[in-house]
Amino acid sequence: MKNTKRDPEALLPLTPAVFHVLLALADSERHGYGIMQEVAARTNGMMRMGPGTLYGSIKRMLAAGLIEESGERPDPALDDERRRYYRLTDFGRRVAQAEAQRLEQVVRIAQVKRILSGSELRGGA
Amino acid sequence: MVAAPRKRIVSASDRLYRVLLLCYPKEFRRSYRLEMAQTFRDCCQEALAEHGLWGVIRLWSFVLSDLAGTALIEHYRAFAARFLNVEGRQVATLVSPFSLAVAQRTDVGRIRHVNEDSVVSVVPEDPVVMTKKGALFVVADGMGGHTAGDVASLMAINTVNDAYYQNGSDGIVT
Repeated sequence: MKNTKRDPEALLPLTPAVFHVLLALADSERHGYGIMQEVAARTNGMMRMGPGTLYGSIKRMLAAGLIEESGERPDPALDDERRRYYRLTDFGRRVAQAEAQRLEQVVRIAQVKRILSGSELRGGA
Repeated sequence: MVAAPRKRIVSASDRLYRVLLLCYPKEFRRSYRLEMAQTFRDCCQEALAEHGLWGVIRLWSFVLSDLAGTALIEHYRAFAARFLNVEGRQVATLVSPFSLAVAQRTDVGRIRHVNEDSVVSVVPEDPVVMTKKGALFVVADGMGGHTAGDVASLMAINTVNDAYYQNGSDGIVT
């Protein structure tokens, strides 16, 4: 995990839970419940993660060097309980980018096959 | 709903969830039980505030199915880490969940004094080679009664090994 030369592609495809956690941490460090809230808000509640799924993913992502702990402190928006925060590593960011590109290609196939209407198909169908 | 029963619902749920955390393997529990209980409490308060008791019931049905599934997964992973020695290969197991353990054994038998059998097992370290060609296992039984049967069987397995992996084509060479 200290090796910055690791190939992000080797980890693809990511599980939905892992990819959503990476996306939730892309713009800010968050604690576990904060990650859940961000994922639920961004997906209109479609992607729900229980504590077991969340912390199972966090455990493996820490081991793979995708995220790291960034200390404990209370969340002023909630209460004065101390919470452990997580943030993305550089490698985690590259893995998230690689996964997003992979999914983009999949979406393009769906457009070509007319499963999904893409801008280039509009008016032609 | 008044304030006192609300508090009771959250604290009762919290206590029950802490007990249920015993379903997870010890090592996993040690690392995450506090955070998981804290996160569950947050979810519980949110569900209660937004949807009342019905919200908490829905949360429980969701959390129980999450718990059952992930507890099984964590037990499997803890088992695999201990007995199949895959802890250090976490990254590889994210891609391929299977690994291969190889053992070999031959016996000289009752007639001869020299074991003329040869065996070779090759499991390529390079994932590219592994994907392209797979692993190779060759057993060459000694040619009983002929001279230098041990040399012959050794030559046989080495020839097969070299020919197989030096052939550039994909898949199995016949």
